[in-house]
Amino acid sequence: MMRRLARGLWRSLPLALRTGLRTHPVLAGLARRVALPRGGAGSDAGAAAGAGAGGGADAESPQIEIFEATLIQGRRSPVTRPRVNLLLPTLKPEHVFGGILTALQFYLELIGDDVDARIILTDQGYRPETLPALLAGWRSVEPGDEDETQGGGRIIVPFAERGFRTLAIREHDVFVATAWWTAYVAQRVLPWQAQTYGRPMRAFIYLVQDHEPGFYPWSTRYTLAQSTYEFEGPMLGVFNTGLLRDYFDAQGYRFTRTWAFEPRLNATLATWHAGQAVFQKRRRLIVYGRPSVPRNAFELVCQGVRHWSAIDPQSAQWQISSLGEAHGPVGLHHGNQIRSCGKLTLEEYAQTLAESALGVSLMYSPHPSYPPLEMAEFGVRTITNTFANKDLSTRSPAIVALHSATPEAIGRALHELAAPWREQPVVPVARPAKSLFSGTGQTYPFADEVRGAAGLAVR
Amino acid sequence: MSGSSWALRAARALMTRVPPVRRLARSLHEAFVAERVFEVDLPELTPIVARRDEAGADGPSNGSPSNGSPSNRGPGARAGRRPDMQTPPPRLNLLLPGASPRHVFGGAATALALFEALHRGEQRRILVTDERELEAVDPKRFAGWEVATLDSLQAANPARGGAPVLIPMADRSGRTLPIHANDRFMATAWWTAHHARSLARWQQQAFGLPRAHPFIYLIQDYEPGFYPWSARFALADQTYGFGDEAIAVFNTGGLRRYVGARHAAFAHEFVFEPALNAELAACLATTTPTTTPRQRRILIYGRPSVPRNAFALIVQGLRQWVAADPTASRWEIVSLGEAHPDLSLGAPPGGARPVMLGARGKVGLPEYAALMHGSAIGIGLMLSPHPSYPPLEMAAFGMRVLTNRFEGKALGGQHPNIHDLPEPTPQAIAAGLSQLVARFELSAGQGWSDPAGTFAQVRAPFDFIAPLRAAWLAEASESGPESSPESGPESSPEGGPKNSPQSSPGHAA
Repeated sequence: MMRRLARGLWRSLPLALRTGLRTHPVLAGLARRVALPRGGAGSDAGAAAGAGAGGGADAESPQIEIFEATLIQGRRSPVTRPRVNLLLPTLKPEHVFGGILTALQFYLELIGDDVDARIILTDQGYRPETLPALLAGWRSVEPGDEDETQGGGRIIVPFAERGFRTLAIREHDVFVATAWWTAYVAQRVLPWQAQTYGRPMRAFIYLVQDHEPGFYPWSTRYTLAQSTYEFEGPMLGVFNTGLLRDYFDAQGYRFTRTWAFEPRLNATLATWHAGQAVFQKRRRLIVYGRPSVPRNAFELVCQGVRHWSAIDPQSAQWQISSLGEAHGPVGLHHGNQIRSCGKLTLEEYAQTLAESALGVSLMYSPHPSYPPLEMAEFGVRTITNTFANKDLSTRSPAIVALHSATPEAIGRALHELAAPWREQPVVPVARPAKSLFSGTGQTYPFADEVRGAAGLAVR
Repeated sequence: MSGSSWALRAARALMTRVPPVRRLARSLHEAFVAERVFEVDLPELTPIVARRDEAGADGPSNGSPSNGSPSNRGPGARAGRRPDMQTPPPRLNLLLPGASPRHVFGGAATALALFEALHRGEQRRILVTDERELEAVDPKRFAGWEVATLDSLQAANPARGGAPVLIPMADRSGRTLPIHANDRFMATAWWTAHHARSLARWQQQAFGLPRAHPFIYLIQDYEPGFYPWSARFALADQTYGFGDEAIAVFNTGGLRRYVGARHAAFAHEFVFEPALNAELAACLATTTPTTTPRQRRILIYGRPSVPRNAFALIVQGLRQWVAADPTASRWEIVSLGEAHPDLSLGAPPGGARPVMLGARGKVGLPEYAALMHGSAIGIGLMLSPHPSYPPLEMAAFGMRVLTNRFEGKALGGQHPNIHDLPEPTPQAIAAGLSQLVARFELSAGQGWSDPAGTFAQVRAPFDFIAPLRAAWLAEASESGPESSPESGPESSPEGGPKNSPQSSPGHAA
């Protein structure tokens, strides 16, 4: 209570004053104590301190269940028609973008005009109230419904609460897994299916969009996620980017056969992009700032920009915007600050890309991630990091990929890249001669190959 | 109009019209209701700001090893440099996150042991980076040590005698640490490596050294693995690229290979291998295996608070085994390592009562030895290239042990009692356990396991002290020979029987 009150009072001070206090040699200690929530990042560090100084030996019951990996119990179905099943965590509207949207698009491409199709929601226990436009005409059913009671067709089964329930599994059901725990579950349904119908195990399709063990510290979830890449049965990998597939190859994971698709420039952005041969770049720095996504290393981005603001007084003349997620302003030196724009509309995003001179977008993962590519496509001089086999600087001269992205290195790189804007407020930058994105045409030209490899009829 | 509603209107008018009041109201609202605080400073990386320590010769001239946050003043301390000044004798500084008794075991204890072994009578300081003050000082371990604060160091800049000091310094904002031209640093956890490098760089600038003194970096795990891919992951990973600014000491050759495969080499690299704790070794020597028959007991290394020990995975594996094995209720299952409530593992087929996992927490070494002597099977997981001691200890005490492989680590080759699972899923753990249980029933405890093996041989832990000291204390300047007072009180055990020193600038093989 007192702490919250103190923090409220603290945050009522103007940001410039707060930043001044925070960086003041004498008052900084006080500021830190007020501003930092107890048990926040500090205790996190304490846990790692002393090479594993034991945490509290309290009487709290330890967390043992990995709820999302609760197994699916199958039951026989008399229906013999083949069917492609998508295992998807959720269809909640606020989650249908990025990875989930890509999964839906790929799946719809894969099933083509199949009559029977089923989406199993592994983490959502109730029927979706609204369906994305992509799924117009799909019906929601209960997992207990007998297969075919209401005729076949395209159905959605919310199946998060499955501890004491079963799901009808046909002899010719084929599964497409997305997030690691959906693969974990599928890999334990397949042996049941093979045994129940007395046939060899079916191949399943694994849509891999990141190296998901990296979302966790070395831990139970890390191991279980990694184990899904080591499945001994037939496993068809469809990878979001060849870069990610190369990383998986280097780890020696076990996939029977793999395909990869490449990022496409969003249509709205592409239209904008095509309309301009030269971008008038002003003193604006954009950063991809998503505090809730650890692999975007938000703290590191801010520390790097803050370092730049300390070593380059000219930085005070720059507008510094954070895109991607709404958050409070971050104080910088010389009175400047990083202001969050939250999630922009595509038009606003295009406009911002077109006028911004510099960008910082970090991604600790072997996936390229879209923002640095989009920034470079719009002539934004962009700082990012390398990771294992990833080095985006080979794709565009506008990208600086730091091997060791320390705050100092990011700050120095910004200082260098800002040089052309030192003398003049607006610098024209030509549109890149060669696009960083794959061209038009089908995103998943291999959809029929995947069908064939999974033993489905090829159209 | 009643008084209260009038007051409300007035308050609302104030809130909307007077900017400071509006700001106060909004921020209070945010603090209590719509809390959105984005703290971008990582507390453990709060810079350690140094000042010149010239035994009171100069006024304090602050400089900063710019570290992480550039919030402090830039390195501008070259002004008062006096090149003719005599170089003081080396002073050894250990950077350790915690020094209170509850922190000093395992990795921290190893760091202290190495620091002691390196000591030949020089002045010593331990910079306790993450503790504001020490909860207690272990009188045995730190006999003769004094506890100082940054303020007490600052007040008088006392030319301390030989008394070694512990300096808790988590609260270091606005305070400085005196550093002289011959301070040497030894880092432990990853963020202390950032600090050590910054201090050494500051020292080089402040005293005009031809090059920065290399610091020792004791690497006992691949610490980025403690985090998801994130800012801390990145910052921890960067420390293994410090190259010729650091001398690396690796806890096990496996860890060195793992790090070496991902980063350029350090200036020098040394390796030590785990050895059985001396007290445990004594227990092992005095008890012959035949005097205590092994019981149907499974020991697990159960530390719910340490993610890489994968507590949930062990429990899930045990549950699957119990669910499949009707004889499971004949076994006692004991969790060691950390206190937690007893857990039900479910009832075996045909059984009515659930099998329980009994937690004993952290036990004393004699009790631990007795338990290992009397138990048949152990499970200890470690999701890291470091082996971790419990599986090795249990194997040395004649237990059959289930553990995991990890990205190149395979302990099965180290001891025939160790069974390492390539993919430690709950199913794999349950299957491995079923096999060991069946084998135990078949053998009836006879010829259950192989003898202790090399891990149990008592040996000097660090047999590279002389070359390590030489590399650490090498003069950065061209003037004068190495000044290291001989005949320190401690004599380090050098030239142990095993372990050849692996000091080569190249990558590990």
